[in-house]
Amino acid sequence: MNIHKKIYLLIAMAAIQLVVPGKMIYDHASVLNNGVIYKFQTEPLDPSDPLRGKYINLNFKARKFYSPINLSWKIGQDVFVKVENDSNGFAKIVAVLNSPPVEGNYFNAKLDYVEDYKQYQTLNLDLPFTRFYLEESRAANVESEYAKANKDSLVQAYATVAIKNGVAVISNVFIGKKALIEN
Amino acid sequence: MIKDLQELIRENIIDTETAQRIFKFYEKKNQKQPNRLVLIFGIIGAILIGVGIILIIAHNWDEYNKFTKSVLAFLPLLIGQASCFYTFLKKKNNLAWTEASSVFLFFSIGATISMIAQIYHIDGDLSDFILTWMILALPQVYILNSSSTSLFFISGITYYAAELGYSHFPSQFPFAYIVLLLLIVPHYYQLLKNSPKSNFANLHSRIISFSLLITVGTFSKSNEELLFISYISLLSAFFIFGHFPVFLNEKRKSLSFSSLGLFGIVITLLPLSFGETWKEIFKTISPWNRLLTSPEMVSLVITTSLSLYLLFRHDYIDKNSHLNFIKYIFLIFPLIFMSGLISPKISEIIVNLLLLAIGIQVIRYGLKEDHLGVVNYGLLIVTALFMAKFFDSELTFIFRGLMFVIIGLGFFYTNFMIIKKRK
Repeated sequence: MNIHKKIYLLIAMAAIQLVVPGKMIYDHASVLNNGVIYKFQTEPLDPSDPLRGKYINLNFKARKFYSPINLSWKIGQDVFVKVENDSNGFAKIVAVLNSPPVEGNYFNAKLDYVEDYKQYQTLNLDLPFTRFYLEESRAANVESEYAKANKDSLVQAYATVAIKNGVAVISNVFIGKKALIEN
Repeated sequence: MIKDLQELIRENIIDTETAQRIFKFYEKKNQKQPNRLVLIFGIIGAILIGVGIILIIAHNWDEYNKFTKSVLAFLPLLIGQASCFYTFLKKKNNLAWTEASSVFLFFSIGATISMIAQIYHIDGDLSDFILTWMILALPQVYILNSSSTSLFFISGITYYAAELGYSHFPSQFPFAYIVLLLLIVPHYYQLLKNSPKSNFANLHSRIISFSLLITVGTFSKSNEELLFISYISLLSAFFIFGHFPVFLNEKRKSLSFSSLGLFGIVITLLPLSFGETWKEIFKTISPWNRLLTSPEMVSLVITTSLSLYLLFRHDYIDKNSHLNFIKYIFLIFPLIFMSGLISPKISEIIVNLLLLAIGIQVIRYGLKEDHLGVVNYGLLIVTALFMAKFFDSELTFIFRGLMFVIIGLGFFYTNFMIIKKRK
């Protein structure tokens, strides 16, 4: 391989190495900017990723979906989750589907496990927005604050999630009226 | 050396012309051989800085907004790329620069993706994250010709395979691992061809063998029993490959392909020398028609084809005729396995005899080569086999006792013989 060819390859490699993370940013930023915002109520539930830092684990009420009809599912399969707002202004799952719905907002998730009952089945979803990264010094405090708020029924804790074309990106977590990140 | 040359000229032992030729020879040789210490410290430095940046990023800087953080995320990547461009244009033949800048770029890719995952709270699988990272880093191995990046790449894809196959729920088969490993083979081949005795070639042999040993087990779901066949085939492939001409004069033999293969075969066969293991295998194994479509079949077919390919390349160099039969074990092992269907007792007896044969042949080989270590290795194999029998309650105490006395005498006798022969 001559040196000119190698330089082109080197430039191509560098470009790809920049484009892939760039596309990650673009995809997520466009959902945050143009997606529809839903509020997902949280439940009580903490951890650190060696490479990616401290985050808090969020547990959502909307993790479970009661399906009136029994269908056969495969554990770990990709599902399409259709969401709407309920009367209190919180997000509610209205359907879990095998293919993207024609209308309405939806996001992609994975099926964690299924509980089969006679009249219905419970689908437990692996939601794609259960991690919320924080600066390491704040993570422990926020965690306990978050746990307290979830035990206290008077304080509403929820996450705001932007949804567009099947992609869901968490933008903030609120404990009562207080947002965890300002910008 | 140069000082000596001057002295040799003074004493009229060589003329000035010869001295110059000798001087030039060593000068050229030194140029070819890079300073090993600089290389090692260069790589270690790059690793430390790379890992340090990942940790600093993991702090998650709250005071910056998303845009600033996104721009900052690219900083390590851009520095890494810039140093690689600089190396390519100005320090092309400097191994320390090449390896250090490429390793730094390798880690900066991981740092950048991590930081973006933090900024947008991306909740992706660890395996997906590593896979993206490795694919982005792979071209560096060939464009920059960086062997240390290749070593990190192999470690990375092994981690990916283990994560997906062992820790992930539900467990998945890491098919991408096979493709990515095949993509690194040309680099390994070049290393073996151009510098078979280099540290990089050596490290590649070790890390590839361990990577394969780790990942074969990820291709299993409910018929893990079949993995015995896969492992025997893989280890036989190691044994055969270790006898290829390229490894003929290998310096460090302890972890070489051939000794790892032999050691692994013994370790894999030992549990199978128990009748209980065979009974257990055939109690839980699926019917044959279902076995044929099981994921374990994938690893079994791949490993067996690999050993068949290596066997029929006829590159095998007959270093020690006593041990040559080991290269055929993978051919008879499936038959031993299946004979367990008729009676587990048959398989048990054959495995015991096979282990005994391996032990005895290793001892004979050691005696022939006058190598005390090898003799005792063979004796250890036989002892391990007998130890296993110690717990086998089906045998009488007298029989078991006699076996141990015989092996003990064997230890004394062979060691005594070798030491006497040396005197």
